[in-house]
Amino acid sequence: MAKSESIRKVQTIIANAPLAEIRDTAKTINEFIPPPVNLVINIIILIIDLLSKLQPVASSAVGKAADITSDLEKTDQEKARELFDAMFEIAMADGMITDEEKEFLRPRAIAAGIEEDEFELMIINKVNRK
Amino acid sequence: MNDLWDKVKKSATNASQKVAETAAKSANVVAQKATTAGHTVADTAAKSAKTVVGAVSYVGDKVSDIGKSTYDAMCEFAAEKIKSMLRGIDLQSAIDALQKQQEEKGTDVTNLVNFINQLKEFSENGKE
Repeated sequence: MAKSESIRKVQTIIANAPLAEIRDTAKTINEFIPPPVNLVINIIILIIDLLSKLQPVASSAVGKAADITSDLEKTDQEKARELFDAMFEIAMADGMITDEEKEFLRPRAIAAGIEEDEFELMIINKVNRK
Repeated sequence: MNDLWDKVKKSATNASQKVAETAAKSANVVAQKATTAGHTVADTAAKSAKTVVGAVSYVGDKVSDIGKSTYDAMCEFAAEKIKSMLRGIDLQSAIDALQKQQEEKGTDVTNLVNFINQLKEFSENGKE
């Protein structure tokens, strides 16, 4: 799938799918689904959570007019931090992080003013918590 | 006596007329100046407003651009993450189990099944 097509698909789901409702259905019905299929539904719930995190970002990107002042007041580092936090949450959606994802996030962490040790610690904490 | 009174009256009338004329002239000048000043103020205000609107719309475009590209980057990252989470996962078995539950329990799973079908596109295309 082309990169732009993947982006468009994710954005279409975020814009149109009733994620909260789908999550409720998945949670409720999963109690009656035997293993190993219930584990598949659990992964689907994690994906719903991941996409739900992007929903407020989507409305902010679309309805920018209201946010002009607050956005202008933010420094480049604050914006970089917001971007890093969102991407970090996405990366940790399944409680795991691949080397590729880690290397993708590392320069973004530096741009957000996060030191190397702090970045490693953030990953350890998040993986342990999951 | 009457002549004198007539003279006084005439002179007073002339004086009043002059005062009135002067006042009217002054009023006109003031009004004209006020109008000119008003136009200038209005023009300046309109120009400033245009500048402000222009600046806001320019800034708005820039911010939207930043917002859009950031959002695209996040969605691209999310798409890759979803593909990696779905690697080796049999989504069809989940759809079958859900449809079975719908038949047995009567729970409406249409939205959930549609969602999983959308995810299937990611996993199937990821295999290519």
